[in-house]
Amino acid sequence: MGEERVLQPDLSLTTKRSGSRAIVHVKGDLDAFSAPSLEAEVAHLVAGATNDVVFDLSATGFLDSSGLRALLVAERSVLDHGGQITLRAPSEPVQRLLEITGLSDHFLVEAS
Amino acid sequence: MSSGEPSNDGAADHVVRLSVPAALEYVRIIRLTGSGVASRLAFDVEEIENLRVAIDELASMAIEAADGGELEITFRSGENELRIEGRAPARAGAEVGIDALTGQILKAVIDDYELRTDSGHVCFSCTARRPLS
Repeated sequence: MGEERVLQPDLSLTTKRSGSRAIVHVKGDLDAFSAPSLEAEVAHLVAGATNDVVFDLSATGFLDSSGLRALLVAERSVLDHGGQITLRAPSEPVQRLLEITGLSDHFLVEAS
Repeated sequence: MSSGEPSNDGAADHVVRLSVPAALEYVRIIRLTGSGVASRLAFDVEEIENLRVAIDELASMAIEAADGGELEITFRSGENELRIEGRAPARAGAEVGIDALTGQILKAVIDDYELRTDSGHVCFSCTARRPLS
């Protein structure tokens, strides 16, 4: 299992890969400034034949429309390659935005 | 950074002004400042979280339309409400608009809001009100 990290002042992405599966731990704020990092990470994973992506959002302190779009773009990219994405343990701010936008049932969500 | 006449509750009728480069990396600082001012007004956790989201969305859109100068934000606290106004020089030919997803979020988290261009500037405003007790 490999581990990669993308670090920004307000966001860190830690990715653990095992076969075609990757778990991306999203820690910090996912907003218009940091969202491109998530999109780039997913593009990198898909290019590496990873098509089962789990976003661990338990430590995501903030999510806005740009972050939400990044998750939707990630989902589209992974689906296009026959895979799936899962949101794991979304934090309270993430849950609230999913509820506001009516996307709570759109994503596959797992508790932990 | 702040001005105004002290009041009995220590927070009403105060103004906090913030000036940051009109760049997305500074939106977090704007959110944090808004949270701090709202907490002085005794907004509860959910109200503060709503305000953070509103400030973030409006400031991010303003910055996207700005020319990279300074974004000046004013946080004006009144009795049971907080009004936020932002202004930055606009890019030549910049147009502002709120897409459906962002509009859906803003309607859910803030009482009123506006984003517009005015005399070569991109401007936003919003008001968060607390329920009268």
